[in-house]
This record gives sequence, structure tokens and C-alpha cells, in this order.
Amino acid sequence: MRNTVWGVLLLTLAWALPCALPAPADAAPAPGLTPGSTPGSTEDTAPGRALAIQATRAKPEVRSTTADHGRFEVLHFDAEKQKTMQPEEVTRTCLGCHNLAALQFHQSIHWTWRDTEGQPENFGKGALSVNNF
Amino acid sequence: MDCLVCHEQTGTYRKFPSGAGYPAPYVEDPANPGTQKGVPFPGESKSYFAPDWSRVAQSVARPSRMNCGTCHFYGGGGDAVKHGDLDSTMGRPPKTLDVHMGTRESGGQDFTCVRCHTTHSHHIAGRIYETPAAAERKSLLQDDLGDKILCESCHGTEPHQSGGMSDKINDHTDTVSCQACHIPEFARAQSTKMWWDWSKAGQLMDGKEVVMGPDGKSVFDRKKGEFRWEKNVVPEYYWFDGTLDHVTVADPIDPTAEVWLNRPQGSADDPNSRIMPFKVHRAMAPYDKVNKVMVIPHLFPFNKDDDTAYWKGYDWNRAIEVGMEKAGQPYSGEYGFVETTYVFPTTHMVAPKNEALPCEACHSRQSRLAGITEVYMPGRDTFAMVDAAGWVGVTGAMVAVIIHGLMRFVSGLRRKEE
Repeated sequence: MRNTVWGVLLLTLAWALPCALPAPADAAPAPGLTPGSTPGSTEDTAPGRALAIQATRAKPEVRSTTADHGRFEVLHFDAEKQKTMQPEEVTRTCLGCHNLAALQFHQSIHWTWRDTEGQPENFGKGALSVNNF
Repeated sequence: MDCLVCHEQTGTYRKFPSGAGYPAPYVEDPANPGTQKGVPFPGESKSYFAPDWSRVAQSVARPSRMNCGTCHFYGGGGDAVKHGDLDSTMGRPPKTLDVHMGTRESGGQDFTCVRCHTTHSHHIAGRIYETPAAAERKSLLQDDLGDKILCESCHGTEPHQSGGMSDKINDHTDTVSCQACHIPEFARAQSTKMWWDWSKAGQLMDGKEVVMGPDGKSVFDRKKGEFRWEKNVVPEYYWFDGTLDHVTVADPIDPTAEVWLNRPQGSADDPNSRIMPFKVHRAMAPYDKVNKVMVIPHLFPFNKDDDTAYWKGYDWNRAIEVGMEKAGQPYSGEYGFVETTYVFPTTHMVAPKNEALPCEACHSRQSRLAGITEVYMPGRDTFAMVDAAGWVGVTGAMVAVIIHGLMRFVSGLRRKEE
């Protein structure tokens, strides 16, 4: 009879123990989507990682430029002239070909130092913004 | 701003002095004709040189980390002053510092800034004052030409594995930002400025104009006051809907309390808000005691004779007068210093996944989210009534078990005696 009491107590303990321990990690890996993922590492097949890795790593890096600026004559400045050159001169040369860039850039906060939408009259270092550093 | 500062790739194009204005002029070295002597800048050990204009102009390409970093790593007047998650170590970071921007050699993805701060027609994605970086949390699948600025853009809204514990983590993505767990600390490679007392400026410390701290950064500077730097900083957490509220020099302040110059907007019941990590930079900053507004002091001299500038004349009154006049704002002539905060959302320096915060960083009595009081958090919060009922149940059960056991024991003994 006493053995039954101890048995029940032991059973209760055995049932309670796993509840108190952290759940074991999910052992079964999801279908592999990721090239180069560490085998056995389940997180590498997490959908968020798989998506992002596919988006960024699947193709070889593409260089999207179609012009070698080193071969533009206008960018070979005279050595003597270089001694007195100012950045505006280079900018003017750039804009000679990139004829929409100035207008685009003049609308950006990097040029205006003001909020571009919202409150341009208040926000921005060119307006009334204040910081503490 | 000119084209070169963002597009040149030689890394030799430097503005002078203090990274702004024009490059250094060409000064020939009399000892070596045809070469430059360099122009020194007081307070810095290195000399500045005029650029090789042909070389820098021919090198242009899409901006690299170093192009953006020329300004953004040094905001606030020096390396790692302004942002806790952007400093010169992010020029070539190891994967351990940032999984996305980390170099290929270190196993990272070698992202440039414009990989996420996507651009079109010179517009660069990102938050601008009260305008959030993105209006909607859309992935590239939902909007392939949209800005890639959010974590969700590439990682989706259920980034973790389904099933088991990971399911529970996915349940968090509508309330907790990715950054909250995946950027456990900021300023992990070098210390960032956390405290700045402008009221100590103009004096000397131990008879010295500049006092260096243990990590080689100044803890006092006559021009700027006293500072405190911290490394591996645990962020502060606030609800954030992607927008920050801003105080301008025209807005009235309450100098009897800490003045929040900007403040994260958002709330627990807003479906667009997430719990987000922030660097909070605290500082004693000058304000107008009569008009009760913050002030803009004129710090950097217009020219070498301009002693209205604080950094030349060390007179706050004149510096504030000139600064406020420039901003078109009135100044009473009486200034004081008030404790202020300025917050920066922490979003760079994403740590490798094995360093993401464990559950108990928040779900425990020592929770990092002690300040987030609007939601019930298991492990951190308790209901006294429920707890009491539970303990009554447990104690009652124990007592019953003991009594029952004793009775069985005693009756067993009796049966034996019979």
C-alpha cells in the first residue's frame, strides 16, 4: 500500500519536472532554402533568414555602372589648374552630363538642411531644430 | 555639399577643417617643389592636403559606407559622439558588430548604407524628423520597388521558424521591434557619448583645457564642457511608431523638469508601434531663462576675428545673442542650463543571431522593459490575487497530502499490529 503512495508521488514529480525545464529545441529542420547554411543549425532555415538570404545572396553581385569615369576627358584636369581648383568646378563638370542631378539634389535635406515634408519652416538645422550634443 | 563627398571612392577627399566647408588649399612645400606641405588644423595631429581633383573625380560611384560615414560617423563633433550605433568602426565592421554591413572576410554581407537606405533621384530612404522611414511595413514581395529600409522589407513579418519556441518569438513581432532583441547593446566597438555638461565649458579642469579619459577620449574640453562616454550600452526602450516629436527653439519648455528635445511617438494600443531600443543622450544645455525656450549658441567662428563665437570669446551671452539672431529668434539676455535628453533610435549594429537577447532579458523581475508598463509581461508582472490563490492551492494541497499520508501511515501501522 505504502509503495503505491510513493509511486504516485514519484509519478507526479516525473510529470512536473519537464514542465519546469525549458522546452527542448525543435530538432526537425524545415525544408532547406538556404545555400551555405550550417548543417544542423535550425535557425538558418527560419523563413525570415531564408527570404533575406535568397534576396541578397542568390545572384552574383551586379555592378550596375555603364560608364568608366576614368575615360571621360572632361575629368582629366590640368595639373597646374588643379592647384587652385574648388569643388564647384568638379560639380559643374558632373552636372554637364548628369543634367537632372542638381534639381533632384536641391530638393533633398542634404542640400536644404530642412525637413523635406512635414514642417520645413520649423525642422532642420537650417530651421529651428535644437539638439544637445 | 558637392558631388564628390558622397560619390568619390579614393577615400582621400577631406573637407577642412572639421570635415565641413572646403578641402584644404594647395600649399607647395618649399623644400620639395611640386609636392604639398599640408595645412595643419589646431587641435588635430594630422595635416590636410588639397585633393588630386582628377583622381577623385574619376573615381565616382554609388556611395560606399565611408562616403556616408564621412559625416554620419562623426556627428556631434567627433567619432561616436552622436549615434551609439554609427561610428568609424562601421566603415569596415566585422560580422560580430553588424551582420549586414560586416565585411565578407568576417562572414558578413558587406552591405553599404544605400543597400537599405534605398535611393531614387537623390532621395534617400530614412526617417526625416517627424516623417517615418516607411509608411507601411511591407516586404519586397508586396512592393518590389519600395524602400528596403525596414527589417520586414527583407525578413518578412514571421521571420522565425514555425513550431515550438520559435512560434512564440513570431508572436512578438507585432509588439516588439526586431532591433529590441537583435541589438542587445550599442557602441560595442568603441564608447559613445552619453552625458555632456555644457555648463562646465569655458573653465579649466585641473588647470587643463582638455582632459583625456581612460579610453583615449576627452572627458573635458574647455570649448565643450564635461562628458561621459560608455561602451556596450544597454538601450532604453520606448513604444515607437517610426516618428519622433521635436522641440524647436520656438517651443516653450518647462525648465523645472528634464526637457525631452525629441521623444519617441507611439503607444501600446497602436498597431503600428513597436517596443524599440534607443540611445538617450542626456546633457546640460543652455536655455533662455526669461522666454523659457532652448537657445542656439553661435559656437564656430565665422572667421579668425569673430570673437562673438563661443569657441573664441567664451562668452555665452554674446554667442547666444548672435546664434538666436541668425535663427531669427528673440533672446532675453539671460541664460541658464537645463537638463535635456535627445533620443536616437538604435537600428544599426545588429548582432549575430546567437547573441540575440534571451527571453529572460525581459521576462523576469530584472526586466530590461521595466519602463514599458502598459502591457502584462509573464515573468515580470504578477497579479497579487492570482498569486495568493495559487499559493493557497499549493499549500492546501501539500497539507492535505501530508495529513493523508500520515493517516495512511498510521492506519498501516495499526493494521500491522492487528
